[in-house]
Amino acid sequence: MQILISNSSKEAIYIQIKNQIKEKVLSGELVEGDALPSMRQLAMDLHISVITTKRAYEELEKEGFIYSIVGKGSYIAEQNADVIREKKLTTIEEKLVEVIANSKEVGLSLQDIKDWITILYGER
Amino acid sequence: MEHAIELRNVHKSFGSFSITDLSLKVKKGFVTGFIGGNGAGKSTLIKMMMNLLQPDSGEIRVLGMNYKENEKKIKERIGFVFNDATLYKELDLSDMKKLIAPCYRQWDDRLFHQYCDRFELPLRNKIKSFSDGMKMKVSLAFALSHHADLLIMDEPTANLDPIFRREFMQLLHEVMLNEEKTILLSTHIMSDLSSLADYITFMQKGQIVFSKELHEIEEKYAIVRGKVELLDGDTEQYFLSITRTDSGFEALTSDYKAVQALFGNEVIIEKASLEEIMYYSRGGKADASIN
Amino acid sequence: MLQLIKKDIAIHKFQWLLYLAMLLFFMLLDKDAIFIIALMSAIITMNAFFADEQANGHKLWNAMPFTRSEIVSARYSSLLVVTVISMSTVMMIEPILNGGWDVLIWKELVGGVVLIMLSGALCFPIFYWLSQRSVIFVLLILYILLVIAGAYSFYYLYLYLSDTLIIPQALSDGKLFGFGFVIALCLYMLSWRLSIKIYKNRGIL
Repeated sequence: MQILISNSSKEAIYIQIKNQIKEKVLSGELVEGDALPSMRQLAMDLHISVITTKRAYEELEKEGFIYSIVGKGSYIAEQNADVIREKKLTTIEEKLVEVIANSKEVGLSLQDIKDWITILYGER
Repeated sequence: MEHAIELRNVHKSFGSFSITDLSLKVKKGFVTGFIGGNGAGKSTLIKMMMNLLQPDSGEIRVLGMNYKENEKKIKERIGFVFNDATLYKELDLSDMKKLIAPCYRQWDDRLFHQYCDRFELPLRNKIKSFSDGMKMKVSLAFALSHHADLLIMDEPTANLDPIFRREFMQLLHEVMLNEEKTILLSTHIMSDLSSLADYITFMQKGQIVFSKELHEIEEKYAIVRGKVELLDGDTEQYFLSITRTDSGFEALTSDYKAVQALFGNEVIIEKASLEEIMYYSRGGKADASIN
Repeated sequence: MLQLIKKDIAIHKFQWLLYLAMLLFFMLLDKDAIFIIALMSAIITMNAFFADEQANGHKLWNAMPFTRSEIVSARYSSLLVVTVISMSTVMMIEPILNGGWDVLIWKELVGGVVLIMLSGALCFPIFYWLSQRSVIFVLLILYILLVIAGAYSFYYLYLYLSDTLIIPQALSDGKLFGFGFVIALCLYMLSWRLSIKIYKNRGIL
């Protein structure tokens, strides 16, 4: 499992880890039952403190992406298709909100954004 | 046992220096970085944790035991590195090992030789011919070769070159793969800590300024820059320390969110490094509590 | 603790050859056995103290699985071990140089042990009390001088005691030396306890 973190990013390192694992689950790269590296192993590999990986794993567990067995390790949890869809929709919403905020900053109107999206949607 | 080291209401004074009513817990299974300027009392505290100095009053427990009853048991499980070498200069490394090895029940000779190879330490040269960095490596090899549960290191990286310092950090990461191990290290070199330490304890003038999770520090402390006009009796409350110049002010806050809510985009807010926190906290307020 | 005594012997390494050479030199000079035994034991012990100071030994051994009492006791024991080593060496070399043992050599051996115990008893607590790298060297030299002075004063004291009429009548040589030995041993034990007490309360900086 590859995780790339940036020390100069504004985002805290544990959030970067959390988001990347989440993405891998949502994209299907990681599926139910896949073992994650132990948090101590991951901390060593990424040259970060154990408490950082611990926090990332704890939050992933809280959000239902992974589960941990004491003494064994952490695994990807079963992902309900509806739940995945729901989570993806949430992500899309978050990104759209960001797009709207950015658009407003540079003075784009709603119609401008719609047009732009139409063009891009057609290209894909 | 949740804590590898516990200090409760410890008092110690000698000369003009004193530690009063200090309590501290070092979490088992994690790395605690110990920071503070020269003379802050880090070494004194470390020496008390190792029973080299005894507190005037208060209680010290290490690995769940106290020194009065279990001195040998505790020390059997401690690996130590001091900032000044504790080596017989006229002996060679192999002789020195013969003195140390039989003192530990869990001594692992194979492991020791692995470390010597890895650190490129010659076994047959007199220790007086070693550089300071090599001596540090020797101490480190001794500290790591008896499967200690608790590593206590007083400025171990001071004499190490940047290349070995990285390897040293890697080594400590390897130690921490085992969740039974605990590391306490004091240092002046802050970059060492951000990649390794889970908890940071900051000492100043014999007092603990704070002892917190690394994240908490990263999330709460910030350097704030803005126009001097923004400062007044009320807004100054949010800062631990402020420097004013003609081109603006620079200040340290330990309440990132409050400052952001207060000033919004009128100021520049940046993550504070440990160095900046130390620099701005000197002689300033002990901890950030905004009422 | 045995490990600490072994350490006191092992740290000298090749210096043992130097000690042997010194011992031979004194024997060839026909110095008294009491002088040689006491001086050699004192020099070797002084060197151990000195090496420990130089190596931050207090810090090192106290950070390792030993108690303060063990560290002090090991030094008191190793002084006796070193004395036995110098005594046996003198005993072995004596017949080679002089074709046999003097019947009265036992007096010198006992005298040597008594002297080394007395001077150790006097000096060790001071070492444990004061030892700072700046003054330790001076202290150690004073210790050696004390031993040398002791060797001579013993000799004259013995002559004086033998010359006075009353003492030899009251006490045979055996009793006199036995008495001296017991007193020295008692003082050594007392000093041992005192050093432990001093060292236990000392901060290692």
